[in-house]
Amino acid sequence: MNNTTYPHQYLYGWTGIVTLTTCIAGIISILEGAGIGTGLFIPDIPGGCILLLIAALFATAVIKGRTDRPGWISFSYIGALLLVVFAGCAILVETGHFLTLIMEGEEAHLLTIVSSSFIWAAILAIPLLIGVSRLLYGCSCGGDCCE
Amino acid sequence: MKEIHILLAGNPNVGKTTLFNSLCGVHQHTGNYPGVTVEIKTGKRQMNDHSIIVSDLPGTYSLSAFTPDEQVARDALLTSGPDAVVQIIDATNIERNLFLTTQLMEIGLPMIIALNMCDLAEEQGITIDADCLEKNLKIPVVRIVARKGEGIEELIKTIIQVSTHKTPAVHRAIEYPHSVTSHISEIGNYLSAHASLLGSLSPYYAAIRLMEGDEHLEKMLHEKGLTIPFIDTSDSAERDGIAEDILLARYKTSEEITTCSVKCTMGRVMPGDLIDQVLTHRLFGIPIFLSCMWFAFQLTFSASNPFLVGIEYIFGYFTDRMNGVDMDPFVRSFLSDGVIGGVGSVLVFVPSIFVLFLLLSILEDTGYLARAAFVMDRLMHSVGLHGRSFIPFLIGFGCNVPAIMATRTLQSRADRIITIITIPFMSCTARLPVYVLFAGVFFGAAAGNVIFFLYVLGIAVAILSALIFRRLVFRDEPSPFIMELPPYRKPSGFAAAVHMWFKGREYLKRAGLIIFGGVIVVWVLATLPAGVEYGSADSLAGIIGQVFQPVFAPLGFNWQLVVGLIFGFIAKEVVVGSLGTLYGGEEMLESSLAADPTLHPVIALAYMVFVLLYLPCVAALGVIRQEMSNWKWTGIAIGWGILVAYVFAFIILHVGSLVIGA
Amino acid sequence: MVPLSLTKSGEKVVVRSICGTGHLAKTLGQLGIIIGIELTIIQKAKESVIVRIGESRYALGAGAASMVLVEPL
Repeated sequence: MNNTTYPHQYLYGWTGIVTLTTCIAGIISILEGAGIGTGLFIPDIPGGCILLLIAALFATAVIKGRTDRPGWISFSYIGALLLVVFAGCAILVETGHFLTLIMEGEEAHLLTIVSSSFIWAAILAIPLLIGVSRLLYGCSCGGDCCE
Repeated sequence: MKEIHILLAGNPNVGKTTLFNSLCGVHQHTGNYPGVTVEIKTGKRQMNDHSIIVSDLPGTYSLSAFTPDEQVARDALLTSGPDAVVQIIDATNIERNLFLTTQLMEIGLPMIIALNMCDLAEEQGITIDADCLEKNLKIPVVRIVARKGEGIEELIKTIIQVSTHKTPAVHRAIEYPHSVTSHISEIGNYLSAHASLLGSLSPYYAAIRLMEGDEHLEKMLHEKGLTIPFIDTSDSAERDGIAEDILLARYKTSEEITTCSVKCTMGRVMPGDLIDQVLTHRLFGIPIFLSCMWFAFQLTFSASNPFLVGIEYIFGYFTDRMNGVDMDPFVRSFLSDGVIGGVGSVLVFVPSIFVLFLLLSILEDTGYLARAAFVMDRLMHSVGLHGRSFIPFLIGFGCNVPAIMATRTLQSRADRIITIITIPFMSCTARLPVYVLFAGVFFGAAAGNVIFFLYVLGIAVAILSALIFRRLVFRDEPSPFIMELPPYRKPSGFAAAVHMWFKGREYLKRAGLIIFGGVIVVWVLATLPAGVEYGSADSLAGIIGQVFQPVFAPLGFNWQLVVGLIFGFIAKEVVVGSLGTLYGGEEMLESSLAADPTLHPVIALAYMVFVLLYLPCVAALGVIRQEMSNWKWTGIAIGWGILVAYVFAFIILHVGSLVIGA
Repeated sequence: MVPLSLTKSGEKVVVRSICGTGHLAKTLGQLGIIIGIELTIIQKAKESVIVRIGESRYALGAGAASMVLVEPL
């Protein structure tokens, strides 16, 4: 990683952190779905697998970061973007479930709306998203990030 | 009130539909071009004492028509005699768009150029000298940003001005090499003598089109008995050479105009390229796509649930109100079982359809859908399908009708036929209530898994059918996959919502009426002959069911289930409704089913599989007939569906019974 | 000269020849894929490819990609 200026170094390190947190979130979700409850997140096996996929994207970004900076930028950008978008979807989905339960007159906890593991993983990825997207769009105005 | 007819033309993805919506707002309707199911949207806009009628043509890259979409655009431009043509050009990619301009200019119709997405061009550091463009093309150029509604007023004023200006339009001429111009004269002179056969086409323009390879025009002239110089006397190598010369001349012209009027001030490295590298990655591409689809379906189901519950409440309310009023039992039955049941059947699937359309619309606007098609193409190619079929398949999970209509972007007839035959195996939202009912009653906690299995089975059968038809019937490869990947854009929530509203409204008008009518028919058949107990074995419905029941005896279906299937032909939503009627009331349907000794889980599964596979509803069949344009293939599609459904239901019943030991 | 289906991601190439003259060649021509044009290979999967010409991006499946012969710049 020659010639990295400060912002890039921090972002790169943050990518590594986000890889771990997303991976853990995914594993917990899968375990919850399989019955090993910790009560932290909503049980969600497919969601957990998707989180692992995104963690793999971040891992690829970390690996690429050593030699191929544009690669790091693109993979971490997409990983963070997907995470945030999916977190938004998860909130909407849980709101829908919540509303349905309420309307059927059953018990529902407001907290379930933010109990999807996606949301917590995404919160951590937001700084990464902001930082990397600046780099990405900096490219289109003749910046020096990509080449 | 002066009426002006204009056509909106342009490349795909340049914002034609957005401009159309801006121009006409709610004053639009969708019609069919005679003979084809390609839809033409027509709308109206008033200004002062002029009434402008706008027709939105399908997007095309050129006037050489290879798909039904392009043919419709070509025919409209060449034969419908509009007062003016408005071409929408994407300001971020002028050079490519100008190719179509060079072709449109030659037709001789008054033209206006709407330069769209000026804001994006500015962001990307592109400066466009609109005056220079205008002078070069000799066509008025209006800057617009259709998404934000900017420039629309000026565009309309220019349209009125150009259309009411009575002198013939003289646009820039394209400099063709001598080899081409000599033939233009040769053919043009010959055709001048037969000008009456050309309709409104000028002989010299017809000459150019023939040399570019317009097969349709060629055929038409041959049928009228003409022998065209050069076209009919030279070999294909020579003709291809001339066609290529014309092509190169067009590109040269576009390049010249662009260099003169467009300047790019900043160094441009494409972030979109980097994004593409991830989204179409050979490893990650498909999993990313599947994740998006997972969330899309989750959203669709969970967003529509609250609406369903709300609808149930409203119905309960109306039924209670009715119970409080004294009325003739006949009328009561008509209102509660017929009307409310009918409206209910329609409303029940409306939320999921709208949400699905909205999501697909947003995905399409961002540009991701094209990447997904590319990513899936390799897989689809190996089972004999064209990558482009995948968008119709996606839509098919919402409703088969718009899915089948979406196949018109496929080039080859074989691709289209195979796709249309396999779309009905994508389980549409209308079939879901049947699964929910039977899986819920007979499989309890495992219901979710059973339903998931059904969806997967549908996909598997679709793949199998595609393979069979491709290898055994057509014996060729799907046509090569070529698709433009539009630039990534931020989806405008508003534009997507408008789009969803119009598509959903069209769909409701078509399908809603059929379904409502179907429920009324069920009610009638269940009530007659007079005096019979509603929905019993002695009613007309019951009699019909018992007549057909022997056909389904090997599958274990009782007569009520058979009636459900027959009415399911009208619309799948009606299956649950008719079963409710025949079992003595929808509220008790679940317990009645559970208590019926002729039914058990394996039969329930076989039934659900049959409903999944057998044939699509009447609305879908109507569209299939239109797209296939003959009864032979429509019949094959129907027959194949029923055959596959019967075979699979049979296998499930007998294998299942063995497994359970019943 | 190699067909597009054998190029590598990131290469910049020039089109030297297009095999065949049927509908496929005409469609490619209309999109701007003609002899002498420069392309950038954005992404290369097993046999299919995404190329950029100027401002436009096109995805070509295996069949189409093998019909376009190019030379690296």
